[in-house]
Amino acid sequence: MSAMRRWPIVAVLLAASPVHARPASSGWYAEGGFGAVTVLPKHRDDVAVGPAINVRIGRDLFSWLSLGISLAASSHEATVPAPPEGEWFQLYRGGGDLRIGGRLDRIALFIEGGAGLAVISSNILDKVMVTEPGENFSIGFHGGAGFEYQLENRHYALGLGVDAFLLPQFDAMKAIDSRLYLRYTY
Amino acid sequence: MKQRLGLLVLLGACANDPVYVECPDAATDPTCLRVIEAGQDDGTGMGTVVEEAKTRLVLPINPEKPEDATARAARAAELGVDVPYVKLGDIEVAVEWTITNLDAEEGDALVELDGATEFFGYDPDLVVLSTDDEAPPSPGLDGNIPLHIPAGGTLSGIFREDQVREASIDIEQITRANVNPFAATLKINKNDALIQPFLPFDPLDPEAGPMIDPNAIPIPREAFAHMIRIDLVFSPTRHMTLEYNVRIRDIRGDMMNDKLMAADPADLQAFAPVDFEVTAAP
Repeated sequence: MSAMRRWPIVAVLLAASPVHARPASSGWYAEGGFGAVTVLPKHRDDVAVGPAINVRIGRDLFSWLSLGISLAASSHEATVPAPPEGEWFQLYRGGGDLRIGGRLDRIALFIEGGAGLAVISSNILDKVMVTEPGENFSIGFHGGAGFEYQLENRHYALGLGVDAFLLPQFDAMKAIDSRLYLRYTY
Repeated sequence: MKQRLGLLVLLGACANDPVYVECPDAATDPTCLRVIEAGQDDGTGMGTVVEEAKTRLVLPINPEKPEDATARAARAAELGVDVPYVKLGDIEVAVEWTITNLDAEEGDALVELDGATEFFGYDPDLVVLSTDDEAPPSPGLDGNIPLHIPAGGTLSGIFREDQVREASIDIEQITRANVNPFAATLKINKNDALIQPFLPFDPLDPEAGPMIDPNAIPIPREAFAHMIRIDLVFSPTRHMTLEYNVRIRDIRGDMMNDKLMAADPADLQAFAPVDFEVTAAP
């Protein structure tokens, strides 16, 4: 077997080698991250992209399954037809979710989904009939995927997640929440 | 203890979130117009135009609770002056507007802010201090700064919270304390601790200087009323429209009705401010 043909085999063997396997804690975890929320059509013209922060607490039930609760907040400029102009509002979301994933050495991949509640801080979107008078709450549904990179310390991982969420009571507003986060597993 | 404090801070922040109100499409009040238009041909065939347009919006405020009314009446008896339901500091109001020039030529426009507290309404057209043709008309509470709008263009602006607060105090000075409207509007009063009433304007002696009313009790700041009605006067030189909305922060936390302008009138506080009038003798 030529040397050129041996290299891929050697690379695979090295990657699978237990010497490079990075241990990761399992159990209760906490995540904190920041990112952005981008509203999708048909409301994209009325709500600008806004910064977001989120926290999540959960527990790994099995190596591939975890349950958690999350809280998120994002702030957006309302780009509705003037007036008003240059006004902002906040969207607060909370709920529970289920995460299914798997680990490939240092990389963990997951998909997640859940439901909860959303609160909007003002009625500025009444003008474009996203909200109605007196309506501040909506059920929320979300689903998405992401990956984590396990750091050398078995408790810490860096993650990147992207979720889509739907708020039926807010004229079925849909948005993408993308975040970079740090996870600590106890 | 720390958790309770955090929850209180969160609740306080939510109570301070602004609400935006505008006149509904089919308002029960015919003077409440979301969009007003002026500068167009008035249809008489004489080449004249509609010189100005007006609109007014009464804030959708919850009815006063009986126990609050009782406490307010007791405080009024202690102070010896009327204490309003909607006081300065209970709400913070800003008015955002957008002018659209519908003409093919550039033009100028004036936007004037007037309004009413629960006691009195101020309309400069009803305050005539002199019949002399050369005398300046009574001023509006704010605005009236020439604005230039290009052909087919738009211009947005705002009467800020501090401007509306100042306008509220000016209404109090003019209507409850007989202060000359020019003196009230040209001086910054937003930090005044009290208003000293003057003797009413004497139409038979319009040149007489203001005299402090020796029998009147000064109005303390805790008895200053806030505007509950926003009046706008729009005067363009070309055919233009003005659209506006009112941004309100409910500082007290229980003043604004949840349904805002969609609320049933029976669920709102009914205000009946008296139009303040002064008529100079010819």
